[in-house]
Formats: sequence, structure tokens, C-alpha cells
Amino acid sequence: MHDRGDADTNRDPQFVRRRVDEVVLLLQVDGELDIKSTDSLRSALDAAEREGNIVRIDAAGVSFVDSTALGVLLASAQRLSARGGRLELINVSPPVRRILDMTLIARTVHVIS
Amino acid sequence: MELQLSVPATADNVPLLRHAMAGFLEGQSVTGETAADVLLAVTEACTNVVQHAYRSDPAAVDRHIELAAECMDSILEVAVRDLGRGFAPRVDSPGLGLGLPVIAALTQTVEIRPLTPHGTEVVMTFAIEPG
Repeated sequence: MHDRGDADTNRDPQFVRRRVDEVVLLLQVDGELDIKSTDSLRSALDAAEREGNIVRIDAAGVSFVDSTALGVLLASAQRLSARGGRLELINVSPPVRRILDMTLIARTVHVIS
Repeated sequence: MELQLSVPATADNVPLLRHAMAGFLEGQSVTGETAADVLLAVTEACTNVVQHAYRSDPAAVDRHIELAAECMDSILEVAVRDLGRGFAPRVDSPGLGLGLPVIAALTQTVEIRPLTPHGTEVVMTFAIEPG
């Protein structure tokens, strides 16, 4: 029987180069994200997901986020993750960061300080 | 000083109530993280009313959210009321089910009380340092 362990140990290292094209879609969001804006947030994310496998939300202009909006963000993050992408949040204000931390959503959505 | 508001229970009116609450807090010199916590908790409670309170009573005519707030020394008491038939479990809930846990995390105390003849009241208290 072939000893695979020895074969692997004795093999010269292999280096395979492969180009990975990541399309980053930057979505600038301004305003308050709550139940009133849920539909427009969902539509914006759906469109962004069609154009990129990494959707980066610039949240500098977001002054408020509630759990309804978090649900929309989480669903988008899960769809992107399922196809090897991710949802990122950048320029998050302290009040928005607070609810992200409170709900542990930062485990799914990449929050970049 | 008190705040008393009653508006139709629609999604459009949730930010309206939040902004009214923000104005009330500003008048009480409640700012910063405390104000942000109050506004988030009020939003979550009002959103619960829009999403859940009147679902089991589609014929209800008076589909309103009532918001009341009062400062007493270093305590702010906020009540969010509806005239629905109570909260029922909802398998198709559009949210994450985080509303009440978020409220519990933000408040000093929270009580959910049935109203007579029908309705639900969420009473939240916050520790404040009024100016």
C-alpha cells in the first residue's frame, strides 16, 4: 500500500498561482436605517450584490441603525458569503457601532474601523 | 415635562416618533450615549407595534402607537402603547427577533403590561442626568 504520508513529506513544495478577481462595489449610504427605509436598503443591496462579490458600505453618513436594518444587512452578508464574497462596513459611527457590537452582527458583517 | 403622542401605526411614523423623542431629550439636556440608547429602544418598541400589534386583529380601526415620556429626577420613563390584541408568535416575522433583547440591553428596567380592554404597554426606564 502506498504510504501517502511519506510521499507528501518527500515531495517538493508546489506553488500554484491563480488570479482571483474580486469585484468590490462601494455603496455609500446616508441617513437613518430603520423600518421605514428597509425596502430601499434591501433594493440597494440587491443591486450591489449583482455587481460585486464584495459589497463595501461606507456608513459615514448613517446616523441611526435599528434591528430591522440589521436583519437586511445580515441577509445580504449571508448571501454574499455563500458565494465567496462578503459584506463590509466602513466609517461606522460610535452609536451604530454600539448596536453592531450588542447584537454580535460583526461576526457576520465585516466591520472595518 | 411630559411628552404625549399618538400616531397611526405605520412604518413611516416610526422615525417621526423617534425624532419627537429626540426633541424631548434635547429639551431635557439628555445627550450622547444615553440619548442614543433611548432613541434606539423607542424605535425598537414602536417597530414591534407596527410589525406585530395589529396582525391578529385586522379589523381594528384604531391602529395607533402611543408614545409617552416623562422625566422624574434622574429617571426617564418611556411608555410605548398599542391598542391591539397582544403579541402573538409570528413565524414569518420580518425581523431578527432582536427587538425586545435590544430594549432589555438598553434600559434600566422594562415591563410589558396588558392594557384594558385591549392593548399592550411597554414601559422602559433609563437613568439620566438632566441638565
